Amino acid sequence: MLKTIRIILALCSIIAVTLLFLDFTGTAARLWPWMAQIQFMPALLSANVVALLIILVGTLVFGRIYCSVICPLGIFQDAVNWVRGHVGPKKRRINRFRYSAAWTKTRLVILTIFAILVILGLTTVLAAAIAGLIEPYSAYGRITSQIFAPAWDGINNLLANWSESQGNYYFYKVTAAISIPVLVVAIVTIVTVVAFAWRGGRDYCNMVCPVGTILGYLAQFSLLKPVIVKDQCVRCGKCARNCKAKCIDAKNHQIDYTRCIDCMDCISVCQEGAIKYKIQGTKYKVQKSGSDPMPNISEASVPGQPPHISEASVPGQPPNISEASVPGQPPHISEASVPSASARVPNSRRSFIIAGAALAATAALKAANATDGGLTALKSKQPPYRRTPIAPAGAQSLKHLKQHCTACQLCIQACPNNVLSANLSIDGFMQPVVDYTKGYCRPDCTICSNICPVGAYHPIDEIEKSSIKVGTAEVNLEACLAATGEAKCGNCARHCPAGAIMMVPVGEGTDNMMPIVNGSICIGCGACEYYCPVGTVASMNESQSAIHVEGLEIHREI
Amino acid sequence: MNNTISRRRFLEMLGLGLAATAVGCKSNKEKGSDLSKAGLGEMTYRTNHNTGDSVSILGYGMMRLPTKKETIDGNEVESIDQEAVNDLVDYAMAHGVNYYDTSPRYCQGHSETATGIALARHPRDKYYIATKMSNFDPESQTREGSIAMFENSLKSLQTDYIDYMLLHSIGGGGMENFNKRFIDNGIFDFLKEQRQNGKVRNLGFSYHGDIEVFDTMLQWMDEGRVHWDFVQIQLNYVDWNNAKDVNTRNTDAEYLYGELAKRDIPAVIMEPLLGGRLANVPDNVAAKMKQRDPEGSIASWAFRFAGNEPGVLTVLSGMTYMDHLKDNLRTYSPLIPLTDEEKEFLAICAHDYLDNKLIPCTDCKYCMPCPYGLDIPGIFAHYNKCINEDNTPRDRRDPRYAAARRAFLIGYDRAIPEARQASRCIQCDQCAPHCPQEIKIPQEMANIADYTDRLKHNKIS
Repeated sequence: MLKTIRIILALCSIIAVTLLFLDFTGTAARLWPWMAQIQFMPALLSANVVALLIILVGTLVFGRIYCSVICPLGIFQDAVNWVRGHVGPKKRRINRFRYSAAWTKTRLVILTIFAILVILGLTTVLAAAIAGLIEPYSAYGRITSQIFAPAWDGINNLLANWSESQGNYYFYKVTAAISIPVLVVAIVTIVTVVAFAWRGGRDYCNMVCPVGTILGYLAQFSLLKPVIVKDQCVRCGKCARNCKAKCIDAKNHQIDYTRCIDCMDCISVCQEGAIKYKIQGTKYKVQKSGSDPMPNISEASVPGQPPHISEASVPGQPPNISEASVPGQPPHISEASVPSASARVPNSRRSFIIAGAALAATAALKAANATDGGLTALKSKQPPYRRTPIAPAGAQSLKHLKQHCTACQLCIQACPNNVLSANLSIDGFMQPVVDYTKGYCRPDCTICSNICPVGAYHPIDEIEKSSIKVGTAEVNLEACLAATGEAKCGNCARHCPAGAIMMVPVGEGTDNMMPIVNGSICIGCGACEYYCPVGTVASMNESQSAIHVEGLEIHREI
Repeated sequence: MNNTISRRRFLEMLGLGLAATAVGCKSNKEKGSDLSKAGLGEMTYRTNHNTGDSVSILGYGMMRLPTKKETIDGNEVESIDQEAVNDLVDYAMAHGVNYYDTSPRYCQGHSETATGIALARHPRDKYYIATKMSNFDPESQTREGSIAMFENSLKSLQTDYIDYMLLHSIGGGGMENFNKRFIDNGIFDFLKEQRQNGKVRNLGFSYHGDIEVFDTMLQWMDEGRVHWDFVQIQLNYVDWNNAKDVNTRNTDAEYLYGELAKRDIPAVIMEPLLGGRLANVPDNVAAKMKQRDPEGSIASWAFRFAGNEPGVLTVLSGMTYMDHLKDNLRTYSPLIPLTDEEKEFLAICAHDYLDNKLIPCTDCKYCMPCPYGLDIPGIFAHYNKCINEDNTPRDRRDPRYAAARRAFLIGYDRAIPEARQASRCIQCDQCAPHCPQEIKIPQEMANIADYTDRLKHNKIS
């Protein structure tokens, strides 16, 4: 019974969290963003007091149920274990666990290193993302966004093909935003976690995971826990042989509660009913299930958290900071911090365009005026070199983002405008970085800032967003079509939502117009960069926009 | 093109459905499914009194030839499907079509060659070839360039003479452009000479745009400066009286045809379907047509109208697929003249059609390639398709809003890659001067881009 409840809750929970990453329609992110916010490490990093209290009090009452029904990486390991229990020779899959002593020292060392990294992350450029490598929620986020999401999108695209062939509109094609280095990290993580789970059940949680160590310490003092009733125990050892956490010392009727994750497997496997989930020390009275001492788990495990992080939960600077980092300052960031597009997997639609336009490349362009029809060959625009990278609005500053982001990829997955991608430089590795080659940051969109569970973003609304300056557009007049007189353009000025770009004559005696940017009202949304035609046509020498946004170290309000 | 056929199929299916409901047991599956000899009579022919040519009322427009995709050097390339062209021409010849209209510009410059290959397989005296002096760009506007274009047409078409030679699409750019293309370089006189020495049998022009040019050409004829053997005009039941509603620069076909009839000049009709749009009319118009004639296709109404006047020599149709050809053969073998009541009915249909504010693009592709990669005709085709299918919601409270929005946006992405959509238009205005329909392409692109953006972000009022 208890095990069934645990499994149902766990399934609901992992599906909900996974959908946050997979659902490209944004429905999951709109309906239950709090599923990411009630994860322990995000709640801790974002100082989400409510979520922390729920988890801590829940642990003190029920034990480490967090690890069984909320943590997606934990549930994922249980799934691996379930598979392990159903393949291979019976001898090796049944009763395959054995009690082992706790790795207390290892746990403490890893936790200490983790804590130091997080604290360092808050004070220096050493990113929180490194600490996030072993943190279960972020690790699961990377696995989902890099491995599960492409598979999900692939299935969706098959359905979209079917849908297109049927002429209906149930499904449409999407492209997965994966990045090879993050994919590599995700693969290493999933291989490690699966290996741990395959061989030793919940060893990862009880040896490596810092959350497991912290909650394990608290769980020792929990009110309710599985207890072996000596009188009823026949010493068959079945409980210990089926304990994923390997924490039951059946001989001595002891359970190591720092490692027990309250999966309730032992309770359901014990034929004698000798293990009870109850308050330790109380005498167990033989009772019927009607008055089961089981408290209402569901209420505690899925708390009715409000979808937004409270004001108090966001540490750090107010958005309006001094003039300290004006554009045009010497670059603070190393060369390596510029996102390299070549490492990115090419967008399938783009490659389609390039392939499909081959005809135009050969014939039509050459004789563009002599015949009709055909399509001009295009190429994908390369992201420009930015002296200062752009942090998404809401992140407050590059520093704040670096210090708080655990690189779970949730905002990157959730961005409906394809503006965010994973940073591939050492400094801020895997954290989101803004890129305007596939879209621009719409002033009316605040999804990333509101979905972030770790407090790397300050949640903002549409009105705040439209006045947050994340960078300033700069024009390369030598490449600009309008300024050089190559074409009547002005696309940047036309698309600027802030009205910050004006077209003015280049000089006396010429009709050529050039865009000029009013830096005081430019918010750095990148519409100009995205819509600039320079760098999009295959026959052009340029491969980058003639106008691009330079980031601001610290965001400002205009 | 794919759109066209699927839409046509859709309408045919719709037609069958309506036929079943409205007419009950009066089904005609045998005739509807294929072109049976039994259902076909003789093709209607018209006589050109200048040369005595007996011309089939159905003329084959070689502007929208079937294409196939090939992989050359790992690149996907779209080229003319010559086998399909041959099959189409063979079938048309076998059923009496003897007028084939091409131009050096059509199909990215490959139409004349493809037409030549297909026709050379038949006796030269069994068909008439029409081609054009398409000297639009400055290079071919020199005397040498234009003459080279003419000589090349003869070569590509594998013939010694052109039956019907046209000054291609005059009117755009007014008399100034006409003078540049034909008078200053002496090509006008050159073509008249070719008529004298037999390389051109009939000399005419095709007209779009500025009415001054059309009137001047006929005035020249009145003054004896030139004899036009035929003139090609845009005529369909929408343009007949409402050309200004389709496009403010157009002139009613009733006037154009009337001027030709007054002078006894045979009229060759182009755009009988407005670039396929009259085969794909809004649902309410389609329903009306099917109610009146469940067996006839939607397009057949337009073709009967186009060929109705006695001064019409032939009606050009760019038939890409066999089913287009068969449908038209059915309509014209023989042509059943419209009754006065049917003419009135089509006038009403024209008004209903115009209420749907379509963009008058005929997919002629003269605007292409757009230097910035936009698929201009594709964008207009999608937009018009959505208007026809009532998928351009203007009100969020519309109960069909969500479904229509999906159809518009998902259909848009399917039809046009994002990098070629209207939002990428930089308003350089290089396309607009090429448009024979004088669509303000950049302006329409901005409107479509704006509408799409608002729809995508639910910013529709």
